[in-house]
Order: sequence, then structure tokens, then C-alpha cells
Amino acid sequence: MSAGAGQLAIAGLGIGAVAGLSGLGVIATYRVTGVLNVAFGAIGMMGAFLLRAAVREWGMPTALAVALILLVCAPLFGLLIDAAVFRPLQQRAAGVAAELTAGFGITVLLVGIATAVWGSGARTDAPSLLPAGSVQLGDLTVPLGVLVELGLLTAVAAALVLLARGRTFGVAIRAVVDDRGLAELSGLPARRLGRLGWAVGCALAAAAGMLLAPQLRLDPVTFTLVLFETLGVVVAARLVNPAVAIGVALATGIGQAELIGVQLGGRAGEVLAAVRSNLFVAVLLVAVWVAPAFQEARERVSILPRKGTLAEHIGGWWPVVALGVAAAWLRPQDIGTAQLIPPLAVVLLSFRALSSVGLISLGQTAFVGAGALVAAWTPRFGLIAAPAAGAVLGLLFALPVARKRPLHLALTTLALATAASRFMFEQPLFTPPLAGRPGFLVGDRGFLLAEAVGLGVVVLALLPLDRGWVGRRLAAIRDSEPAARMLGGDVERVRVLVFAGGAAVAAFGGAWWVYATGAFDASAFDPLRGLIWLAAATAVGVSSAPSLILAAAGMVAADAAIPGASAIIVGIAALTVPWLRGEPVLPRTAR
Amino acid sequence: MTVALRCSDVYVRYGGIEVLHGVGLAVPFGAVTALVGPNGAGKSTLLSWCAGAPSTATSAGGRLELARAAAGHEQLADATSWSASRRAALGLRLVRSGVNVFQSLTVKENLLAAGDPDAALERGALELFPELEPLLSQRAGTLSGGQRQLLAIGCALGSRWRVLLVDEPVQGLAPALADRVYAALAAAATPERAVLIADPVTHRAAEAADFVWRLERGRVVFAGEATELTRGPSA
Repeated sequence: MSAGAGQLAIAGLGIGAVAGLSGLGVIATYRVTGVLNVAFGAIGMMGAFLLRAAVREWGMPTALAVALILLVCAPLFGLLIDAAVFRPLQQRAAGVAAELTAGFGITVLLVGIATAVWGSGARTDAPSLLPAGSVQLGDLTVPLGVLVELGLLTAVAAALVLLARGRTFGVAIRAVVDDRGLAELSGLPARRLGRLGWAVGCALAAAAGMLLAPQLRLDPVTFTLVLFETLGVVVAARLVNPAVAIGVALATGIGQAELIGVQLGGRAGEVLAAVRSNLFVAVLLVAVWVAPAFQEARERVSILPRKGTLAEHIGGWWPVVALGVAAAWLRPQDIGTAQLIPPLAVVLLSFRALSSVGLISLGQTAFVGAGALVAAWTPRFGLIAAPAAGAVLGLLFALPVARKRPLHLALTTLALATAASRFMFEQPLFTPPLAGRPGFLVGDRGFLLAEAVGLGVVVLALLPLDRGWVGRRLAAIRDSEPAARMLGGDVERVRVLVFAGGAAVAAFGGAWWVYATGAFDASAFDPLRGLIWLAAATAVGVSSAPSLILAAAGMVAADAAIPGASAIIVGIAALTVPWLRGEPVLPRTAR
Repeated sequence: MTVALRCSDVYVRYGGIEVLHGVGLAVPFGAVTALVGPNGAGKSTLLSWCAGAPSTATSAGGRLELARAAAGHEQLADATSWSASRRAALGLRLVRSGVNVFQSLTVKENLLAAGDPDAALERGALELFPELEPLLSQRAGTLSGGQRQLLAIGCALGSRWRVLLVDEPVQGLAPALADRVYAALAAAATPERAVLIADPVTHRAAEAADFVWRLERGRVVFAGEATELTRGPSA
């Protein structure tokens, strides 16, 4: 290795160490609670913002601020979300989907709070925790900061490994991971371990955020997503193996730095730049496909969604009819806002399709965005081409992972959405010109009416999901895959087809979306947006078409009144509505 | 006899279906109590409710009292609001039917996790069920159903328990082994310990038990000494 390449590798070690630290936090929580803490990015962002505020705005000494955040604020926050959110969910035997939704609810809330308190602008004055200076190792100059980061990573990893290997404590941890409910019934300290896992996980997330902040622009949304993208190292480690997480994190950090030394021209250069700045996303994408099945916490059963009553099925049409009527009566200045409701409603209805076989998608934005792109590029046939493209994409991505368990499949969709956003939607190469509507949809009132008809078609298409022969077949798969197989059903094929159907519906929504807005905006299809949609669909109940349509209307109206308000409302709803209902709101996820 | 566990007015609903309608029972120290009744009567639900196990029930309620030593004698404490962990800390153990061992752990680790780490192996399960000894390094998930059942009961008996609730203890066991399991449970009911066995086979449970509670469709239809039931027409 040349001195230049070696120097780049050392620079990459710093980023890799921070990603490793963040991954260890997620693993620490998962191993003792069985919950994948998807809020770790937002917790890290909050830690970074708190440190900046304490040092720059309140004049607190850096060491004191770090100690307070790491030893008091972050662990206390971990204990709080354990007691208020995840513990009650586990007591109600809620499933993976409910836990993921709660995690995203926390993410959305924290991002909303940070935006409200510190604004959405980027800060560049986050205090550095690392010492200046460097040491010389042969031809290489090693910054002291990198050494400190590596030392910290090693110490945390060693502590976690020692704890997990202890004769008594280690067995207890493994027992809790294996079956938390049984562990509690056996008198093992499952709750204490759970609290410890949340406290340590949140402290490590905050540490990662504080270390990373000086190297990046600190803003609530982007910084959260950057931290979140390090999830790939955790997935590669199958959520439990600290050594693999550290190895992948360091290798990715080094790879990212080494790519700086590679120069290419033209389109190849653009692709290389995209890969370089999103290498952790690429790792996430590869990891979900390549990693063997996770050692997922045993599937916890949850009750099936209540069957819709006849009145509810009939009621499914009234929001559609109301939209059609609104097309004639709305004031011209409100029609533009109303046009955003049907596309979002269609997107939310796509979750209903997936839930019919117990699937969760964290990455519907990939299909919505793909549908929007296709529709923008082919304005004359967009409403047909978009769902077709969505279905093909869905098939392509679902086939290799059809046999994976719910959490793995959900993370696969998230990886897909992140990759699609970074490598396609944000790339100028794919950005279409202004999205013109098909000729017959030019008038605003006529367009809204057409949207209502399109929404009605989707509602109609989804009706068989919970009735008749199809509904019974899907319910059987959702209820018990082994039992459905025993009855001769090809479970994998049905799941793949339903996934592709859900992707087609989402892409159909994307087509309407881009025609309603008149332009393709990559930020509308950011992965975080998909998490908000999932949280909204979950909060109102995925099995109810009218609820999903009304949720879309509410979100559009909230954002029209106060931009960004829907995210906060959805975050609060995702955390509180299931709690108020006293029952899991998503169907049992497929085993 | 001193009461070790008492529950009253227990109801559990799944959606619109109420499976327990204000049920109550008492389990004394120094005796084996049997909870019998046909499949679907609510036996497992009642045991799970008593232990505070995670449940998919949409609503549940009732009162649970557990004995705890205070000032040299046993007193019943209201444990209704206690978590499963806290109930377990006071010595309440539930051996569920079905998945009842840590499947990714070895047999030895299961015994370590459940019992007193210093003495469990010598004192507990292996003395009762020596057929587990050659399986110590085997993962519990690879055991047969009968072996898993033995391990689960062995783990419970090897732990620090005072009230043991066992759901269908001999399900899947050969008759000879079933007899040994029942004998081990009967021997475990010392004056400081209480055993409650749920079994759909009335005569088998009643033969091993001192007291019997019979559930049918979520209601107690008989409570008394086992001999009364075995003499009665419904046995």
C-alpha cells in the first residue's frame, strides 16, 4: 500500500470507528431486548445538538456537557422509552411491526423537537471532543483523534463481549434474547437487562452523534439519516455479532476514504462520487441480501385485525365520493392542496395490501419514487407504466428475500429505499424534466376528479384482500405460514405476488403524485418519508381503507397549515394510538 | 393448610370472546392441586394470567394473592399489579406447554439459567431426570418434545420456587416417564412449596393430586378433594 493510500485508510478509520460505535449501541439493545432500535440515528442527532447547545449556547465546559449527556441524559432517555413505549408493547405481545413503528415514531418526534428548538438549518460549529495533533508511524501521520476513537471502540466492544461471556450474566443475556417472556417467568432479570440495554444503546448512539457532528453539517434531518445509514454494519453482523459489526464498519470507512483517491471522468465519475458518499448505504443494501437469516427474537403473536364490518366496507367509498364532490365545489386556491390527498391515500393503501399477508415495508418510497419517475418520463402512459414498473421492481426485489423473516424483509425494503433515494432519485442523470400531465388531465378540477376515480379503483382492487377465497388464503398465510403450507399453499409465491402488488399500488400513487405536483422532487421520496407513511398507516389501522384515506387527508391538511406538522402529529400518533387502543394494531407478521 | 396462591374474579377476553368468567381458585402449600377440564376450558389461560405471562388478551382482570414470609409466618400479598418478573422473584414459576425452554441454549445452560448457578446441576434436574445428563451440551431446540418437557420441568424444579404452575406436564411423554414426572411433582410439594397441575385428563391428574378444581367453559364447576371427584359421576 502506498503512503497516500495508507493515509487515506487512516482517515477512514475515524468514520469507521464512529459507525462501529453506533452499531454496537444497536446490538447492545437488540441482544437484551429483542428490539431493533431504529431511533438510534435520531438519538445520536439529539446528543450532538444537546452538546452543541450546552457548549456554544449555555457556556458549559465540554467535558461536563459530554459527561451529562453520556451518563445522565442518554441513559435516562433509554429508560424512559423502555418504560413508556417498548416495555408496554412487549407486555401486550405486540409484534415486530409495532416495535419498528414505535421506533420511527420516536425518530420523527425527536427530529421534530430538534427542528422546533434549533431550526432546520445546518450548524457547523459542533464542538470537537477529540484532541488535536498527531503521531508519526513510519511514513504515516496518525491523528490522535483517530487513535482515541479506535480506543473507545475497542474498550466498548471488549466490555460488551466480557459481559456476554460471563458464566451467569452471559447465560442470562442469551436466555433473555432467546425468549424474553420465558426468561421473565423463570425469574431471570429480564427487565433489568432490558433497561441496561436501552441505557447503554442510547448512550452509545449519543456518543456516535457527538463524535460525528464536527465532521459533518449538523441539521436534524440529514444528520439523523447519515447516522441511520450505518445500520448496514448492524445488519451485516446479523444484529448480534459485535466483531463483525466493527470489522464491516472499519472496512467501509476505509473503503469510503480510499475512493477519494480514485478519479474518473464523465458519467462514471458521477456514479463513483455517488457510491463514495453513500458507501454505507451500499453496505446496507448488500448486507440485507447477503447476510444469513437473523437470530430474530421469537415471533410474538398479536391478534389479527378485526374484520371490517359491512358498514365499514360501504364506508370505504365515502371519502372517495367526498373527493369527487370536492372537485366541483372547492375554491381554486384549495384544489392544489386537495390534489395531494388521493396520491398519498393510494400510497397508504399499499400498506393495506402488504399487511394482508403480514408483510411490513419500511421502504415504500422506493416504489412511489420509481412510479413518479416513470410517470414523469412517460407522461402519456404514466398511469399504466408506473404501476407496471412498480410491480416488476417489487418482484425483482422480493424474490431473493421472500423466505426471510419479517424484520429481515422489512430492513431489506428500507435498504432498497435508501439506495433508490441516494443512487437514483438524487442523481441528476435520472431527474426528469418538468412532469407534464397527460392531455386529458390538464384541468385542475378534472384532475382531482380523475384522482378520486383512481383512488376508487385502488379501493375496489383491494377489496378481495379480506373477503372470499382470496381473503381466506391470505388470512391463513398471515395467521400461520406453516399451517398454510400444510394446506398446499405456495406461501413464498403468494407473498412475492402480494409484495409486487403493493409495490404497484405505491408506484400508482407515485404517478398521481408527480402529476399533482408537476415536478419530480427527490426529497418527497426520502426514506424518512416512507417511515412516516408507515407510522401513519399503522396508527390509524392498516385494515381500514376509510381510515387510511382520512389519514392522508389529515396529513395533507396539516402540512398545508404548518409545513412539516404532519410528521410530528404522526410521530405522536404512532406512539399513543396503539397504547390508547390497548391492542396491537398491525396483524401478526408472517413467520 | 396455608394458602400459597389465591386468585379470584379472574376474567380474560380475546376480542369479543370471554374465555374466563370470574374464575377463582386457591392453591395450598404442601399439596398438589390439579386444575382439570376439557380442552378449551381456560386452564392454560388461567395459569398464564396467574404468572403474569405476556398475553394477546384484549382485556383481563381479577385479583391475585401470593404468600410471602413476613415476621416468621406466611402472609398473602396482593400481587395483581406485579410483573411476571416480580412474581417469579417471589417464587412463582410457570412451566408452559409447548415452547418452554430456551431453544438456542444448551441443556446445561438452560439449567444454569433457571436454577441456582452453584448447585442446580447437583441438586435439581439431573437427580430427577438422569436421562438429561448425556444431553447437557446439546442445544435445547434440537431435543425431542418429550426431552424438552423433561428439561422444562427439571429447570423449574431445580430453581428457587415456592409455587409451581405446570401446564400439561406429561404431554407427549411415554406412560412410564409420565408416571415419574407426576411422582416428582408430588414429591416436590413440601410444606413450603405448592404445586398446581393443569391437565385435561381428569383421572390422571386427580390420582396425583390432593385437591382438584374443574373448569368448564371458563367457569369453576367443581372444587374439592381429589377423592370426591374420582368418586363423582363427572370423573
